[in-house]
This record gives sequence, C-alpha cells and structure tokens, in this order.
Amino acid sequence: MSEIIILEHVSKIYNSASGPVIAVNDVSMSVRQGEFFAIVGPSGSGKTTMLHLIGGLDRPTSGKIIVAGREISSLRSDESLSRYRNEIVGFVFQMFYLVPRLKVIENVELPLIKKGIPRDERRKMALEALRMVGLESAALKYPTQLSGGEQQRVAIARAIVGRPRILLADEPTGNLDARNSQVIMDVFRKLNQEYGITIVMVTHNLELIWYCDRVARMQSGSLVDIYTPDTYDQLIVSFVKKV
Amino acid sequence: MRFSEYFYLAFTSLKEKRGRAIGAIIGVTIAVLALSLALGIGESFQKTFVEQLQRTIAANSIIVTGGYTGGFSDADIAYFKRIPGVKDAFGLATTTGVTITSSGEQPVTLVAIDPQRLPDFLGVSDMRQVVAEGSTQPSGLGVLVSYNLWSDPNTGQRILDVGSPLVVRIKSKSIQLVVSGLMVQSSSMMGGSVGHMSGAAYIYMDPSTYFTYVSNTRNYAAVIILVGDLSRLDQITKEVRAVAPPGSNIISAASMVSQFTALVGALETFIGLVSAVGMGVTALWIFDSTTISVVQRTKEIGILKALGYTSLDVLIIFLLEAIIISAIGIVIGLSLALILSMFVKIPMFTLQIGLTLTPSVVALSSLLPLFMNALAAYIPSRRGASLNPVEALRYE
Repeated sequence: MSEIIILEHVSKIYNSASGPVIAVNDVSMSVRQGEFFAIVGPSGSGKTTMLHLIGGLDRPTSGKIIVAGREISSLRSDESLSRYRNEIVGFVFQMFYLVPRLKVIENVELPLIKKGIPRDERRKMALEALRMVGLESAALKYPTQLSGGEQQRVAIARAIVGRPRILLADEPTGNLDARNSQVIMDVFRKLNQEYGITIVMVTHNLELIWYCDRVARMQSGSLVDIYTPDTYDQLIVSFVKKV
Repeated sequence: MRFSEYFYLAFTSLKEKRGRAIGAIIGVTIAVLALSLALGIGESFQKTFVEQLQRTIAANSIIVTGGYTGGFSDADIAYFKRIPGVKDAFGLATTTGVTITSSGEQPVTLVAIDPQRLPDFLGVSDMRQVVAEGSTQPSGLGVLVSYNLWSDPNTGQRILDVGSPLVVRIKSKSIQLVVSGLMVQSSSMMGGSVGHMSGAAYIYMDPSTYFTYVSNTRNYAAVIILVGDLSRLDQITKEVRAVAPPGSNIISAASMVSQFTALVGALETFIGLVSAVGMGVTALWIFDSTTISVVQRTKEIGILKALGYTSLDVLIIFLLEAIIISAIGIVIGLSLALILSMFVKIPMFTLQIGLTLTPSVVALSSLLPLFMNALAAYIPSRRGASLNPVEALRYE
C-alpha cells in the first residue's frame, strides 16, 4: 500500500501568555492509502493538533506534511488551503457541528455548494451519502430532531459527500453512549472497507482501537510508538501503567 | 461558487434571525422613506418655484427696483433703453391708499403700468386669463381691480361690478375711479401676486392717469427691462448695474433661478443630512446585528472553513445578509414613497408642493443606505471572515 500521508519532523509551537507551548514535537510518521489509522493519547498530548495539521486547518511551525502527493505544509494562501480541505479531506468532530437552521440534507450539501455542483446533482450526492450512513429517511429533518448518534452520522455523511480521499475524525464518539459509539464505528469500518476511504481518527477511548489497522500513541506532543493489532495489548498495558 | 449559493446561505441565516432582520428592514425602510421624501419634496419645491418664477418673470427680463433717490425717471428708463441688447424698458409706479366699499375700508395698492405690458407683468399670455369680467386693459379712469377688492373676503359676496365707482383715498387726496375690469382669483405668485396675493388688494391703472391724478412727478418704483439677446443677459445685467442709480436692486429671472436653485440645494443638503442621521442609526443597527451574528455563528464560520469555504466566501455570506436587508428595506421604502407621491400635496403660499421621485432621487435614496449598510456590515464580517478555523471551532 502506498503512503497517502507523510509527516517529516513536524513540530507545532504556539505562543501563549506564559511562553511558547510545544503542541507537536518533531513527529515523523506516515499513513497508508486505505488504512484505518488512530492516534491515541491523553488530553493535551497533541493528537488533535496533529489532526488539524494534516487537515490543513493549521500550519506546522517546522517540518513537512505531504498528503496525496502534495506538500500541504507549503500551502500559504487561504484559497489553496481551502481547496485542499474541500477536495482531499473530510472532517468529523466530537461536537458534530451541524448548522441547526439547515435541514439534514442541506447540511450534507454544504461542501458540494462550495464545489459549485448544480442543485439537482448535489441533492442526489447528498442522499447517497446519507444512504451510506443509513439516514436517508432523515433528509428533510432538522438536526435538533435527531439523536446524538444520528447527528454524528449526518456529520459523517457531510464529511464524505464530496468523496474525499481521507476522513479525519476528532473524538467522533466522545459525545455518544456505547451503543451509538458502536454504530458510528461500524459506519467508519464500512466506509474504510467498502469504499476504501483512508481514516485517521483521534481518540482516547482504547476500546475503539480494535477497529483500526494501526495506532499511534502520543505523549506530550511527541510520537511514542506505533502499534499494530498484534501489539495492541502492549499499548493497553502502557496506558494502564500511565493511569 | 455561484452568487445564488451565497444568496441561499445568507437568506437561510436571515430566516433564522427573522426578528432582528425585520427590525433592521423597518429601520432601512424608514431611512429610505425619509430620504426620498426630503429629496423628492425638495425637487418638487424647486421645480414648482422655478417654473412659476419663469412664468411670472419672463426669462428675457431684468427688474430694477429701489435706489437711494427713491425711484426712476423717464431719463433713467431712456438710459436703460440705450444699452446694447436691450429691446425695451418700461416703468412701474406704485402707491398705497384706502378704498371705501360696502364691506368697509380696505388698504389697496395702486399699480400703474403700460396696459400693453400688463400680460408680461402678470405672467400670462392673454389678459383674458386673469380678467373675469369687463375690460382687459385699464384706460383713463377705468381700472382693473383684484378679486379680493370686488368680492367680500368674509362672505364671498360681490361688492363691486363693472362700472361701479371706486373712491381711493391717498394721503389727504381722494380720487374717484371706475371699475372697468374684475380680475380672477389667481394662483400665481410673483407678478400675478401683485394683483392677487392673499389678503392684498390691487388696482391696475393707466400710467398717464396715474401721473395726472395720483402723482405729479413721473417717478417709477421699478423698471422692467426686456432683453433682445438672451446670450448677453449677464453682460446687460452688468451694464444696467453700472448705469442704475446708486442703491438699486437688479433682479433677473436667470439670477433669481440660480439663487433659488442654490438655496433649495442647500436646503436639500440640510434635510439630506438630517435623513443621514436616520441612516446612520440604521447602519449602527446593521453593524450591531452583524457583530452579534458573527459572534453567535463563530463555530459555523469554523465549520464552513473546515469544509473548504474561503475567508472571502464567509465575508460575502455575511455581507449579503446586510445587503438583502437593505434591498428589502429600500424596495419597501421607495414603494411607500411612490404611493405617497400620489397623495402628498403641501400648500405653500398659493402653490401645491408635491413629491417628485426623479431618477436621481431614487438612485440617491437607494444607493446611499445600501452603501452605508454594506460598510457597517463589512467591519464585523471582515473580522469573522478572517478568523482562524481552529480558533473558530474552539470558540465557546
């Protein structure tokens, strides 16, 4: 499998009132095409910042990020970064972030509106995305009429409707109960296995790592190790030791 | 991204905050209505007065009045006639007195003018337009009397007829005249109003009779100079000023129109500034409303940016909200102004001032609020659009 995401000595330093804060410290790693990859670690370990850097929402202080053959760390203009976010990646957040005044289908259509796709075609594409997450029947409802799990599935539909190559999920089950968490993870697995979408998921819930092909553990901004299913037990043990 | 998509996103936001949007639309409507009324009435005021002025004082005339010596002699008139480009010049003599009629004593102004020049002076092409009954010209002791002299001002009953004797007391002297013509109630203001201004009574008589029975000296209160070549009006006005007795007032239709236009222009500017205060308040409202909207939708800005929307896209969406509000307010405001223009008639002197919505009034009344509101919305919109997506998503 070819590598779709490559990070080379990536660091991100924020300037705060109390001085510089190293959020990501000299991280080098890669994610393969079609892989279900997780980044785990405690709060403040830099995993969400990593996701933002890969997604082009933030720029690294140093290092190189190459996604789908394009060096995104060198993208400077708002226009080129926005195009990258619109075409290459899709985001799923812990808080769903649906626009409450728009119907479910209108929320899903948002990335397509930016692409300039005509209304009829984008409606078809949005319905297809909703069908992929099993929510076609909720298309004309408003987000507030749905449960948390359903809202997160709408957010996933919105993230994949533009057919991105990579899905970036930040604590996608963080706001859901166990049953809904499982539904969401099943949707991710289906998207990954049936549609070949590369998924990078940030989580601190170790129960979810069993869905993933590989898991990176971060600690204080640094990458500690990368685990495969064969070594997940070691990962769990290292976490338990920390706690 | 197509314009219709920006419009769609802006419109859905307005639908959500419809209370604030309706309030802002009402504000814009009032501001546009106030501005269009101010400008439209000013326009009508200017148009009506200039038309009246031009009808009353012929464009080719220069009026010379006053002077420290108390008037003008025939010699002065002869001087004016000799100025190159002057077609003719004639004097106008006036004095005041009292008449005694069945309704009691009434102050009156006697005006002596060449009967041939009377239509020009009254601002009509034919004396039959202003004479209701009898002769159209004063002759000998026969005079034309204004409406409020032959009609009782309280009851409207006729108190004088053609052929009625009319005694006028001027200082210690009494003169008996004969009513030869009854003038109509006129709406004209300047020359016409000399005969018909509300409350004032006028008697028009032949100059030769005036200088025989009323005044022993041939002294004119004013001289009206008719210009042959209008392109030389300014030059002739200068020459008249040079030869006129010291202290004379020289008025030409052109200069009066120019002065009046300047006055109305200043008045319109003043009213426009007052309306601008209203627009300023509306713009502040839009600024406030957009600021609240940007703060409330900070996370939405973060989402849009995460989905690939640029800062410019976000700026356009927020700006469009203000523009849609302004456009709706402008359409309603101008429609109301259009309806009002059919009914508004403000009585002023003897004229009716309406509301004239010229293209320039419509353009100014719509573009000015639109520009101000867009500017007011731009500042908070720009701030929202330039937010870092990560900070916007983290905003609590």
